[in-house]
Amino acid sequence: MQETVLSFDQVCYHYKDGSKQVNILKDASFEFVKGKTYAIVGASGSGKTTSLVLAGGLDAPKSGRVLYKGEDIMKIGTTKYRRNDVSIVFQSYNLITYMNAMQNVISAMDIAGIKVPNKKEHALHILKALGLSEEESKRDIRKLSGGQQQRIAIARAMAKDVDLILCDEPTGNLDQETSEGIIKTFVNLAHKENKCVIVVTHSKEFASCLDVQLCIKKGKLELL
Amino acid sequence: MIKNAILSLKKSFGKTILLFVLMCIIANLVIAGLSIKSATVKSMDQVRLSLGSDVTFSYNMMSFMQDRDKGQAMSEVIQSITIDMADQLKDLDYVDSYNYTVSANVSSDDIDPVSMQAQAETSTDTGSMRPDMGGESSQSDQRVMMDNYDFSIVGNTTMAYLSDFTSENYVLTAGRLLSRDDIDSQYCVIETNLASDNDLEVGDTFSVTTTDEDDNEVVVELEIVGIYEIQTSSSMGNMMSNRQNPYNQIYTGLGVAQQLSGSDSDITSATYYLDDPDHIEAFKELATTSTDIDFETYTLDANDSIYQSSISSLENMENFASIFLGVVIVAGSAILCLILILTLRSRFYEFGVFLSLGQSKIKIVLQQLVEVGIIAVLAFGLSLGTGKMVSNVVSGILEDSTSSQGGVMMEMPSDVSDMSSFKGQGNKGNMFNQAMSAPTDASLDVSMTTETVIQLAEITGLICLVSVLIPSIYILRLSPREILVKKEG
Repeated sequence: MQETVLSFDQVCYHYKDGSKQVNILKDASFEFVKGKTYAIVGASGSGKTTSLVLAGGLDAPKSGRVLYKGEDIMKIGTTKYRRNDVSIVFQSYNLITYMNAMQNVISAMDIAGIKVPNKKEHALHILKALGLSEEESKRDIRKLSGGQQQRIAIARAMAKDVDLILCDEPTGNLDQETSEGIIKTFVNLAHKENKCVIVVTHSKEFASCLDVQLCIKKGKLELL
Repeated sequence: MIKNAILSLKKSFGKTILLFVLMCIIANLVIAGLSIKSATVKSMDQVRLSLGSDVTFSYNMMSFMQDRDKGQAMSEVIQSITIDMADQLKDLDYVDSYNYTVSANVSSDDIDPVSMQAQAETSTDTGSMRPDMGGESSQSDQRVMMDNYDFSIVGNTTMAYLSDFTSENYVLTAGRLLSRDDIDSQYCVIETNLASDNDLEVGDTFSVTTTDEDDNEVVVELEIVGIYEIQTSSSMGNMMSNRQNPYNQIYTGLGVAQQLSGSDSDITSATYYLDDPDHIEAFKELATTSTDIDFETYTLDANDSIYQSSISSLENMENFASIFLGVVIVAGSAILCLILILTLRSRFYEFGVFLSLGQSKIKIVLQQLVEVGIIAVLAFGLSLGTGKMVSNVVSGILEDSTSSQGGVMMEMPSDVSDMSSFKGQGNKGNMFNQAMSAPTDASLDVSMTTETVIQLAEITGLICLVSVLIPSIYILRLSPREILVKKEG
């Protein structure tokens, strides 16, 4: 039996729009296991990104629980959870602009307290595996393409060596070829390195390449 | 964290330079404020030390002037200080040493006084003091004739602490001064002009004469054990007679002076040398509470009024430095705070990324503090070199602005000098001159001390802390989602 990494247990989330309450998630429950890739698809405003934000501990559900390996992430502590247990790849890459690719990766390792003999070499190795040369890894990231920046964001997520990787529209700004390369990377991470990869995407093509496809209907996570 | 801070500083070079320049300005102004503040405190200490830690016990002439009836003779009213009274004070706390003084007026058949007229002729090349010119010199002749005594005897317990000698206004040229061992001896110390005019040397003797209350002649033979030279005399201009001429002043032991004054229980004044100038007020308080001396009739004078007036401009400067320092700290913190708030707003996205990676908010704030701290350390280092120049400029401006107050203070001496001559000793006038020369002649010493450097470090640290923590409150309130959503928006 495969190990459950992340569970949504009766998760509710809403926000106020003036005097009106907008419900995003309502009693959403689902279990994500190791070694599989998940795609959450749906229309804009359906709650895809909110699901990812809650899964990543960037916000707290209004009710219900988000469990990491059976433990409520609020009890773990969201900062600690984000530091040690989860990696998030954002649509807009969210790289630190005053650092180069290698420094961005090392910075994530430092925050997570990853201990490797040579952090520089380790970071360059991950970046190289994602197709970035040493010269590109040391170049000002603002001079790199969107695809390269997205690969740096993925490298940063990989460098933390956690079981759960969350991605928000990772191929949204990328061309077909680069997108395919990135999809392949996620699949490999799940299948070869036994990670749980959850991807939020509006691309049905991308979603179809992943193991499980989910959608949000009436605030609930459901299999497509 | 430190690595990230250095990377951030390198990348945002413009912002780093702006903060560096601002911090340099703040640090230089803080140094200027601190240096002036410490320099004024130092100067006040110097003034205090130049006046010495001595307190003189004497008859309260101010009270006498207010209370006496018209036409009443001074001798009828003035009550002498007794040795018993003076002894009560010498054993109080804070007293390191003491000196009793007895003054007497004498004449001599063996020696001639250094005459004021001869002195006037030799001391100036101008004709203003010549007898044949009339005017002042004629009046001077009349004054000399009014007094029968040509010499002034000043008997002391010891000459070791006399301010004229300690300040090197009077310099011993031969022999020695009188000590406590000479208290009942017939030894004396005379001025070099008196000695040379009368061909006297150490070891020579001469007699002095006075009359007691019953008009009996009292003759005492004195032996010279020391000769001193007056470098400058502050009381030259106030001489009414030969005996008021400092050249005709003869220092003896207390016993001889008491014999000549006709009383072995009375003294003219007593001076107490305290262990610290700061204890003057405590000593006065103790004297009032623990002795039976009537301090309406007698007074303990530490020259405080002169001290207060001479340091008033320094106190003004110290107050200015304190206000200046406060303004610099508040304004510096506010400007730095505003700049950091503006720059932090552009860094929200970066904070959001760090938070999403699991960095704690405290560490994010600490990184800001490290960044500002690194700039502050560099600015601090540079300011140690440039601060002295700024201090000199600011102190120069302040000295110019306060110099007018010095002119007002210089009107004080005539009163003090008059009071001192009343007491029969010339020390107070000299002390006043020292007090006045200490703060006014020398410019403020604004050199940086270790204390100033430590204070600068503390103030710089405080400014950095305040200017980072205030904008950080905003960061600490935000959730990573809010920050990242703002970016996405």
